[in-house]
Amino acid sequence: MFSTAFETAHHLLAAGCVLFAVFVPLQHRVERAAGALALCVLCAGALLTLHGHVALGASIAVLLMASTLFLLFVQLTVDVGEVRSGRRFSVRGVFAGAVVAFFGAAVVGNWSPSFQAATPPSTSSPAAKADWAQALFTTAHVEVALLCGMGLISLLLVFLLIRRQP
Amino acid sequence: MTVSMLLPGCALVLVGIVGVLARRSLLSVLLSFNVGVVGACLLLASAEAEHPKGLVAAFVVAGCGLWISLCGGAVALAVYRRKGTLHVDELREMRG
Repeated sequence: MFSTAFETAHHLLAAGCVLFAVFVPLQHRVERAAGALALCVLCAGALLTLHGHVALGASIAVLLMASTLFLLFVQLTVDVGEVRSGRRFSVRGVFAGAVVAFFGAAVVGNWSPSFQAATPPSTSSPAAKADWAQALFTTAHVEVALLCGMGLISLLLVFLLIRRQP
Repeated sequence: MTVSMLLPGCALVLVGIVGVLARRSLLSVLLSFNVGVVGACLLLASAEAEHPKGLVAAFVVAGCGLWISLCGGAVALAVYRRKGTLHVDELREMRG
């Protein structure tokens, strides 16, 4: 039962990941391409999580989603003409956001006890996999929330430090 | 090596390369680059069974991808402010 669900989820996520990725270069509107990329990143993160790489999956989802949102923000800024009305980007804001996102994900992902213990069972028995998945989802949700929080804080830093020219 | 993640990873890297080469908008190029970064992370994670440092490399690649995207976005905005366009064919000043 668990093995069948695992295989189905894997195939769906892999197909969705590739499908959404193909949409990115095909779309001529940047916001649609950014949406397709966000979905692709989510599928890739879920695929990695499904294979036991929880920290990497969550980090990729948070980091690349942040960069996608930032690019979307740049496109919206260009579209509505905010650039000409005096807003400009602070290099310090971008740098601070990237540093917080990267080191936050690295610290949480590498030194968290839940993620350290989150190695899939070496045996291929469905019962062992089910036990491992159950234990993982009950222990690692705090760390996943922390990673998402780090991504949001980094985005907030980038947005807040966009300053208005005098 | 996990073949189940190898194929999507290869496909994403190919799509990213094609997007970077084919698109002309600077932001679309950066979005396609991000697709390639996701594919590279999948490939590195799939090689983790043989190379234990594959996950660390995937973390570094994801962080560098974020950094390049942020800087690229900021550069795109600066270019737009200065030139009024994001079309890469019209940005010819650095060509030899």
